[in-house]
Amino acid sequence: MTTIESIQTKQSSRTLANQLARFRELGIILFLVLIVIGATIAQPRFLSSFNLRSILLWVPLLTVVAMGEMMVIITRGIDVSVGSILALAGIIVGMIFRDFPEFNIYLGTLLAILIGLGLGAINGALIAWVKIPPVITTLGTLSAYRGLTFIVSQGRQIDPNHVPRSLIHWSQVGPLGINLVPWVVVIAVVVAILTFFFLRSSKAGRNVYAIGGNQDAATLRGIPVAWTTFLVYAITGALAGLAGVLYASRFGFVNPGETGVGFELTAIAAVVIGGTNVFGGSGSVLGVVLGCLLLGTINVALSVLGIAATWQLAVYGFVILLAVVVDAIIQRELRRASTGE
Amino acid sequence: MTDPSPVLKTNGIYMAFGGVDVLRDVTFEIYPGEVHGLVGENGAGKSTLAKIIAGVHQPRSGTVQISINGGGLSSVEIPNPHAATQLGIALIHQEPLTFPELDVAENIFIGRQPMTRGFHRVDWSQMYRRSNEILKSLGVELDPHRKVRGLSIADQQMVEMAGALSQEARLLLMDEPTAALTPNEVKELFTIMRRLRDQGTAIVFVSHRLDEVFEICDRITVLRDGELIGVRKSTETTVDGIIRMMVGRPLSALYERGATASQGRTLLEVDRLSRNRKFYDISFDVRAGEIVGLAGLVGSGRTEVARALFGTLDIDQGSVRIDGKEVRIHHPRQALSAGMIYLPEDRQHHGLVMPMSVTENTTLPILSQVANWGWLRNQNEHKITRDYVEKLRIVLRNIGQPVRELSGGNQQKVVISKWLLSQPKVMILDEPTRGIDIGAKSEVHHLMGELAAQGMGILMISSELPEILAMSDRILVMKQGRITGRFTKADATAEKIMAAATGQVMEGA
Repeated sequence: MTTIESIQTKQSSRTLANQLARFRELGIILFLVLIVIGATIAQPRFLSSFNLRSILLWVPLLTVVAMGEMMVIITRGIDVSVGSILALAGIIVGMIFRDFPEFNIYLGTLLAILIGLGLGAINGALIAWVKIPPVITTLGTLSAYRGLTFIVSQGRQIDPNHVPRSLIHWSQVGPLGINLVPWVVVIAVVVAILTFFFLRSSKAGRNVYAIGGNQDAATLRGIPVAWTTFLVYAITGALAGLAGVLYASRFGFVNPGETGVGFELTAIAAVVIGGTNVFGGSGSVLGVVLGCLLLGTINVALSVLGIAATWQLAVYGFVILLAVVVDAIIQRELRRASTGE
Repeated sequence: MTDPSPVLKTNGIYMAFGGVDVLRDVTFEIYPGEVHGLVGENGAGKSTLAKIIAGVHQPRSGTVQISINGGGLSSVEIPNPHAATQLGIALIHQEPLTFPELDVAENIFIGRQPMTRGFHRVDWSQMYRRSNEILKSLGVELDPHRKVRGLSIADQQMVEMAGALSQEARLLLMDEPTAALTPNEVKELFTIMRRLRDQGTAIVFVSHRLDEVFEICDRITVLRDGELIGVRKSTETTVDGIIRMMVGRPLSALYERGATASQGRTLLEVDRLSRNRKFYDISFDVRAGEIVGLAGLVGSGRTEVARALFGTLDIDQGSVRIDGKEVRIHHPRQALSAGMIYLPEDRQHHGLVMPMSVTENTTLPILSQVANWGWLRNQNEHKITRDYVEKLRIVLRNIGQPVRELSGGNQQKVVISKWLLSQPKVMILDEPTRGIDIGAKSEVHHLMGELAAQGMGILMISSELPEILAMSDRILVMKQGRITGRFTKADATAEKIMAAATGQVMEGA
């Protein structure tokens, strides 16, 4: 009798858990559709190709950074220095383009990635081996890297005429002449797919979930916790470095006091909205990509509807809180379903 | 057990934590195909021994030898749990160490997932197939695709065991594996343990529950105060025999109850207190001038009863009367105003603010008494603190010294003085002398005796039988949430208490 009951509750909790897990990604899509419909009713030209392009230009930058941030948050960490890494890598490579106009843009991109990797590795080493809490470490480097950005650039911005035209083309021209989907979108999609396979099919990727889910257990099972932690912050830095080049391509300038400021919040928002558990252990590429799309759509909708940019920060904050509250409710329901209390 | 070569042998293991000896010269052998019980009182060193073998702790001295590939013994270093795993040693924890967000198959294979040959990717289909095979060989019906979140403790244990088997563990160390299981789950676990034993796996079963130890174990090793007392075949000994080995130390004269006051009116009356899954039907009373000892194994529900009385754990039913008045306690403040105080077991976390001074700690619960119009008056604070430092003979440099710098015994006295300020009638002490040195212990005991003599009623929770026997006027024993024994000072013996705590009825008890 008791066994039959327990089997039944197990099964019902299992389907409920699955439903809620699926609901998360469906929920974002639903929200997305509602915003699009609402914005289109209020302002029919919202669906113009110009606005769709704005969304598609806004999202890639965010997606590239959010992929790294997601991995960090899955390990139960956080990286608030990504905006500063983006700016420092962007400004250094921008200065090279300015001073050596013939410099190969692919080499420049690789250099930005390597700079980001190095800066992320400093974060990772401090967190993994010196054991400084992630928030403290990356708050410190948020400030330090931003400061370095001012120092190396002597406070001067990289002007549009110094950014190579071929780089700007990445945001204007797409493959096979499909200009609605520029190359930066393709880059972001490739990053997302690589992240997906890393997390799904590599041992290191699975270890990312394991150390976020239960660090004690991971240590006892012989999982290289410190190394994996280091790796995740280094990769996140590298992706932020790549985003620095994408920023220059998209906006045509890099400004030491403006570029990437507050970007960590947007990235964290996308990650959390995408269903990543803020307490570590779970998160999906698809969810986070949808989270980025949602934020991009909200962003463009706000400007199309004539809502001032000053409101946007407040709206982000609200959407993050909404996502966290929904997540907390889901987690509580899951616990209730699994313990039967 | 005809196999002459043990799978693992420890030689003269010595271990100490913070200057306290935990294991002394333990030499211990486990053979393939046996279930070996490891028993002893709380603090006897059972878990520590298991954790040394599993690489969680490193012994101060002594060696561990294991047989490689069924051959002779050779000495090995086990610097970490991972190394133990690679030697074929697996530790199954009382609270399973699983990854709730990952599925069953990955919990089994994490860190050692099968990889595809070409692109060296995680081979999920092979992982699920092999998980199915292992779970089937264990006789467990679990879907490898299911997330571990929400599985029962028993199922999570099976996942851990499957993980151990997937790496061909030859020695399973199980630390209190039945503590959180229902009787049916225990039966299933034993079936699986027997099957593994018959396949040649060696299993060490650490447990408090002697009935279970006798049911499943072939041989039983008894530890007492960190020393190996003896090894017996379970067919050649009795529960009584094992209990005698567990408690058989002479009672030291250290525990001297100062004065025994004539007992007065009933101060605390507990009637059929129940809390689902924690404790059931708890009734007892404590009279003025009396010390009532509450014995039982760790996890028997003693601390939960204390917490319920103090209002930090809600009860389902039952009533509490303090000094004749019925009280409903949902918050410690209510307990305090009713005249009851509670000294928690873990004083570092619950009793003291370590970086704050002795004065600040002492007057924390009575700030309103030492303050004028909400502002603290230093003279008041200092005077009160000095009074208590003198009364309780607290050894310190000055009363502004941070509590952190005091010895364990003196810290405990600061906790006591802090609560004595509210002039309680009833005092609940949870493991009042755990982790403090012997001299300080007898000071605390002396103080308890004095407080009782002044007319206070004391409920003392303790895992140390000599302490219970020496200090208590009456003794209650709990097992699995119920009171299973009541003794007066005159007729209590260590053996009787141990029998009640482990669920065995002694002959002639």
